[in-house]
Amino acid sequence: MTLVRDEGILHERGGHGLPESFAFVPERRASGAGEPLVVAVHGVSREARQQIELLRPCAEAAGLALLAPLFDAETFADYQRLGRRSFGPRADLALIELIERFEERSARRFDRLLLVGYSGGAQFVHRFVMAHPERVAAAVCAAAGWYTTPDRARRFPRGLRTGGLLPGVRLEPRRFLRVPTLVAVGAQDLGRDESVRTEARLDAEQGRNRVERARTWVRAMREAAERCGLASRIDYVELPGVAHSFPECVEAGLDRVAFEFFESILLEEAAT
Amino acid sequence: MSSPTLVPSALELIEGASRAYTTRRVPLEAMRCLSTACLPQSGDLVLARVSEIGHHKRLHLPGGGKRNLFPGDLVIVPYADRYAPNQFEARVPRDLGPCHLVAAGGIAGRVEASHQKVRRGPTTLRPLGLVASDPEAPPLNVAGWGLAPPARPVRGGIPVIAIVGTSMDSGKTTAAAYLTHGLHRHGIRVGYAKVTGTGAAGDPGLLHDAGASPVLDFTDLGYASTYRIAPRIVEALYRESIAHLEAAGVDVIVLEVADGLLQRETARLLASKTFAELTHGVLFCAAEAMGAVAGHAWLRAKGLPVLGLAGRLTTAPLQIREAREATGSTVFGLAELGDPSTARKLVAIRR
Repeated sequence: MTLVRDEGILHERGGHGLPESFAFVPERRASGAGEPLVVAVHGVSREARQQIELLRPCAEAAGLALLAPLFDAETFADYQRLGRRSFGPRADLALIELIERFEERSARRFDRLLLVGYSGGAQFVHRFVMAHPERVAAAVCAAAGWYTTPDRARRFPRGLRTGGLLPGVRLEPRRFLRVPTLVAVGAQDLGRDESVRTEARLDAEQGRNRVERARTWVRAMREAAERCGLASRIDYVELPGVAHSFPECVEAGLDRVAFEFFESILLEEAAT
Repeated sequence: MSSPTLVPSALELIEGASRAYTTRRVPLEAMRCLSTACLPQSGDLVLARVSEIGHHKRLHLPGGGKRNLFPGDLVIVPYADRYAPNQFEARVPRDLGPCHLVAAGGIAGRVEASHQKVRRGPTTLRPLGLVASDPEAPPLNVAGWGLAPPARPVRGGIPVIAIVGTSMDSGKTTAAAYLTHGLHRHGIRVGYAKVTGTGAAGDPGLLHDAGASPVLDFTDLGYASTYRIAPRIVEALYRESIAHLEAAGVDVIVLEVADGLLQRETARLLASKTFAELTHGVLFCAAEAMGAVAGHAWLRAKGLPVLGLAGRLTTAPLQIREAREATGSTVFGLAELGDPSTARKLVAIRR
């Protein structure tokens, strides 16, 4: 398998347990020690290439490489929940291996991840952060349908008790709450179509739509950080006038907000 | 004036406790505090004080050794369900109240039924709290330290021999050990895994001594016991065990399925597409001829490739003859399984 360049976007087919992927590598690299990698994760419509196309201008301006896995529906049916045992392969481990292969292909070494996910991709991203916080410098979760609550008493994926579903994984608030996270959602993302999980219990616990659920999760994460005595950064932004559409969110400034967030985190890191 | 009483901290209690074999993958450094805020779930570690010594007088330790238990001892064991027709049926309790040590490998549960021979009743435990790394984190669970799923799915091509039997104590582990030893003496690298059952140090230790490498069991995959776990998870454990052993570069894979064909998880696994696709041969162990005949018919009715019969029945020549005549199948005694040439031929008889 080789990387194929098409209009500046690198494409590599999947196989041997790895997802197909798209990537963009800017000529100019961000300054500072080490090099972070931005990983963009698609929603259930699986528009991985579109994510690269729409996030590319900001990545180029910031000098950050961009990688977008395509978790195909047949193989990675449970990717939003990281691929629970018996529901399919582990999407989190597949991404880690994909990044290693991308490092080989691009002859670069990425020392930490900046994650951005939209819709189902935001579900994946916040759960990846919980499972692998040491790998992530910052995360942007946009318009997730629902969230894993930082609740030690509830079973995964609603809460943190993974049991045998994610062997080798421990979701520990004191570790994952250290990862700066920006939660974004379209202010008009109020629909309850088939892409939003609608269960009475979820509605009662997290809210009836993506806006309510984002607000609930931000509050829960901030409260959990306070209980742990951590000065965590859990930012929140609503994109005015936007419903559930990744291109419309980008048009409303999601890309700019996300990369400004990433750059602010990298600047803070550099200053300490 | 009396001197003040020093109350040991949770950390001191944890560090002073005996950790069971089933907890061996969880590092002591992760065990930092106690939680009573969550209800126990299967796999959660509990720090408990031994109240009364009953059936299990000893505890298997992480290194494979054993220690005697005394009232007042502190132990760290996981909660799990237990299936043992010759001892107990036990469930994970829905509270942190008194419970029982239901397996010597280290399982906490509440006994619901006992075999009549267990006259003393189970050893009783008084939980002090679930063990956690942090007050805000979920209780530590053995699954958190299970091996990550193998990087590659099962490739196939390596002979997979499953050892199954009529019930517990039908001679499966001994047969597996002798078959492994025979293959090992032939220069064949054998990987072994016990895919279902209750965590205990004895079986992996025996197979290790017989020459298997690596030796895995379901505790390596994050379960202290597989009783009452979902059928699809049992199938996943079967697949993962094979994939891990394949990745280790073995020549032959010997897998032991615990308990008998009528045990729920075993029955469902053996009836599954996963088992049929991944298993090249089945060695059936029975304690007596009638069980061998029934089990042989059960397996053949499912279209599974029975390589032969083995187990405790082979200690009785009359039982061997009856089983052979009734099934038309070869009966392998321990000496035959342990003979390199027989073991080699046995592995070669496959689809």
